[in-house]
Order: sequence, then C-alpha cells, then structure tokens
Amino acid sequence: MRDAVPYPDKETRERSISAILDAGIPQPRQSFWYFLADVFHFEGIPILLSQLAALFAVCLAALSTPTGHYVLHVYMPLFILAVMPVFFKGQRYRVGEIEAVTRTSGALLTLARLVLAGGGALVCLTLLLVLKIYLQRSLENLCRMVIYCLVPYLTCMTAMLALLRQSKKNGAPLCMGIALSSVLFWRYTAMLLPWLYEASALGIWVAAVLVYSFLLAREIVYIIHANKEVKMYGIVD
Amino acid sequence: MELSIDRLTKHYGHKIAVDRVSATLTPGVYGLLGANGAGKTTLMRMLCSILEPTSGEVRLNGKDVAGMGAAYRDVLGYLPQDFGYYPTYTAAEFLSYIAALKGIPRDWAGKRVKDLLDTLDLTPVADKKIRTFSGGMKQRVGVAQALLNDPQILILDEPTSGLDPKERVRLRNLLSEYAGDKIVILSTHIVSDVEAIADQVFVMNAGQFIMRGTVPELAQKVAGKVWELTVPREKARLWQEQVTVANYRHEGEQVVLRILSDDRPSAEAVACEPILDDAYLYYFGAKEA
Repeated sequence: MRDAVPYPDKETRERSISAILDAGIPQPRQSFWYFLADVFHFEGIPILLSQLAALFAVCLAALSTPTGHYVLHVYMPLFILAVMPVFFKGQRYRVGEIEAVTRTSGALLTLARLVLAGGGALVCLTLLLVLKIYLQRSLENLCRMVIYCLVPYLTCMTAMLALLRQSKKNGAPLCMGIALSSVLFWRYTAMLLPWLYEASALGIWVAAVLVYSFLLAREIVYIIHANKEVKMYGIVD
Repeated sequence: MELSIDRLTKHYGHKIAVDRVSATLTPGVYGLLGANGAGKTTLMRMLCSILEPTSGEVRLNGKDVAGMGAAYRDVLGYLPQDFGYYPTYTAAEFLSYIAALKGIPRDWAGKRVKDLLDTLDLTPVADKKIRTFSGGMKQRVGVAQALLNDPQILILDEPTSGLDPKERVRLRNLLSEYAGDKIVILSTHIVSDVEAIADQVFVMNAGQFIMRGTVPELAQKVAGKVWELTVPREKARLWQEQVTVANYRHEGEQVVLRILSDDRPSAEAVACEPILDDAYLYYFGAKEA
C-alpha cells in the first residue's frame, strides 16, 4: 500500500484546494466543557478502560486471600499507572509540540485529562469500597479505608504531575517506577508496620492526606496558571 | 498583518542558538535557509511561542505574542521538523483530534478534514493507521494538521523532507496558492524549495541572519563569481580539491564544473548567471552546506 496512493481526479483536487483556500473557519469554541467533551471523545474510553483493567486486577488481588480486602489501598498506584500513558503520550510520540500550538495548550489538555482520570478513579474507588463492604459484610473502618486509599493515590498523582511539569525526557519511566515501587512500599508497610493501621495512627494518615492534597492542589494551580499565563507545559526541549 | 521579530535571542547555557535576530514579515512566503544547527528550528519554535526566548520578542500587529495565548495560537499553523503522531490513530482520526484541540466546531471540522485529505491526496488512506504510512504520506498528514484552522501564519519546519519530487512540487504549489494574504514561513536546507516559492529568503548561520533578500537579489551577491569550466574527467577531482565546485556534470569524456571563485579560475572558464544555490554555497562553503 505504501506510496501506491491513487491521486484524486483533477476536478476533485481543484475543488478541495479552493475549499481549503476559502475556508472562513467559524469562531473557535471557547467553553472548557465543550473541549472536555471533545477530549472524552478521543481519550475518555482509553482512560476508563485502563482504569477498569486496574480495578479488575485490584479486585482479583483482594479476592485472592481472605485478608486481601484489608490492604486494598496498597494497589491504588495502579490507577495512576493505568492513566499514565495518556498523560505522557504527547511526550512519547512527539505530538506535544503540535498540541501546544493549538488553541488548547498543553496545560489545558492536561487539565482535561486530569478531570477524566480523576472522575474514573472516583468511580473505581467507590466500586472498591462496595467490594470491601461486601467482603467484610459491614461498614466498619470504611472511612479509614478511604483515607488509606487516598494517600498512595495522591502521592503518585502528585509525582506524575510534577514530572510532567518538569518536562523530563525520562518522565514516563520515572513515573512508572514511582507507581510500582509505591505498591511495594505500601505492601511492605502493611506487613512490617502493623501499628500504622491501628486507630491510634489515624492522625498520621490524615496528616498525609492533607499534605498530599495540598501538594496536588499546588500542581493543579500551576497548570491553571500555565494555561492563563500562556506558559509552556509538558514539552520536552 | 505584520509579524515582527525584535532582537530575538536564545541561549542554551553558554551556547547561543539564536543571536539577536530581527525581521518584519508581512503576507508572503518566507524561506529560512541554513545548514543543520544554524538555529532555524530554535527560531521557528520561538515564533510559535513554544520556546521562551532568552531575550527579545515576537509581535503580531504590535502585540507581544507571549501574552496573546489562544488568540495567537488561533491564527497559527505549525509543522515541527520532527513530526510526531499517535500510531494508533488513522489519518482522519488524527486530523479530527487536532481539529478538536484547535477548537474547530465538530460539524465544520469534519468537512475541513475531508477537504484537506483530498487536497493532500490522503483520501484513499484516510482510514489507515498513520504508522503504516510512508515518510512522505506522514509528512502530508503533518502539513494537513497545520492547515486545519486556516492559519494566518503558517510555520513549516522542513516541510518537504521525505517527499518525493512530485509531492514536493505539489506541496510548493499549494503553499504558494495558500500564501495570498497570509504569512508562510518555511525552513529548509533544500535551496530549490526556497528558490521556487519564497518571496523573501533569510539565510541563517550560527544563529544570525547573514543574508536576506529576494531570490534574484541573493543570487546577484555572487554575480561575477560563478564560472563554468570544461575539463577532462581525470582532472576533475584535482579541481574539486582546489576550488568550491557547485555542480559536476558529465559531457561525454569531459566534465563540466560549476565553480565558485572570486577570480576566473582558468583562462578557459566562462562566467555564468548565478542562482541561489551558488550564493548559498559561496557563503557557506561546499563542505558546511
């Protein structure tokens, strides 16, 4: 098939050339929500499917042992690992420059992806909690589990956005390494530091949620500012 | 419409990639000519505001583009030198995706994508994955995405690389037709591309414009320095070592050399009309070019 493309007839070609020359493009759309719908059209399904795949893996892990549902939070970085390719694909496939010179800007595109990934993660977390309630047949410790889940998720999400902001060439592999080592870290923490999961240690977790929420919010504010102030975001030099 | 570049400079540490470059561009086709590493791509990236200058500014109708944001990007079309694409997307999907990012309303985008696919002869492969395309076809997708928003300023970095001669001519003609009341800037190291369509040529070396003017103006800079000399084949190599040879053509057992030299290189040498290629080679030297 390569290069064996039949050329269109002269009339079609002339018609299309005059069409592109007399384009008169209408006013570009302004609304973020309209843009979000466009991004969902192209990237929503891959984001949701990869998150569902992560959810399936976490559910399998939870069901594989009788105590599996106690350590659901250990696997939260997998949800970052699942969406990471979408965030870094502009860098990986060198489309970032083209994306950055559109009306959207790299920052706004990242923000839209963040909304989609965050929404998907919220749905997955809810389903995980439903699974936990089902397995333990009670609502006991549900709030604690939410807090346990938030800490590794927020840590990895913050790390991913920091890597995107810094536009490192090896941002994607670094992010992958952080997510996978987080899983191991939290797994061993659960095994070796049982006191961390006692009610008396809840303060540490709440503090961690607050710290990482602040750091994540700072990254998001940076993205919003980058968009408003027309700064480049996520482009590797 | 006027795009002005005012003492634009970019440093990477101690290395100066672009050095106080200034120009004023009005509608027309501008060719940016220079060897690899001359600073063309850095300049183009700064013009697109995807690279922050160390100093200087780019202004559109008097407004600094650094502060214009989406208003500037709305009138901009850009094809980077290293055109990337998502391998899982078909040509039509990729163009629709970029159209969405450019904020083109969906119903309108569909028609625009179709017209561009037609114009760039990509309609038969519109639904094939871009990863299966040849280099030339990928490059045409790159040009199509740059034209999606009917940009008033079109910046193309090495647009003809990877295209076969027929495709190159067709693209050049399309750009000429497109220019009209728009600013088209194309960078290349292929002199003939610039020669064919550029109204103005900027020759860049070591981050600076070392020459600028129309094609005939630049060619005239080497008037009286271009010679043709017919020599036996066995002596041709010797001449090549001694002078800058712009062209080498066999004629039977003889070889016709096109020589760039301030003085008549030999009593048999005949003066000839210079072309842009000669000027480029004269100022850069055959090796550097």
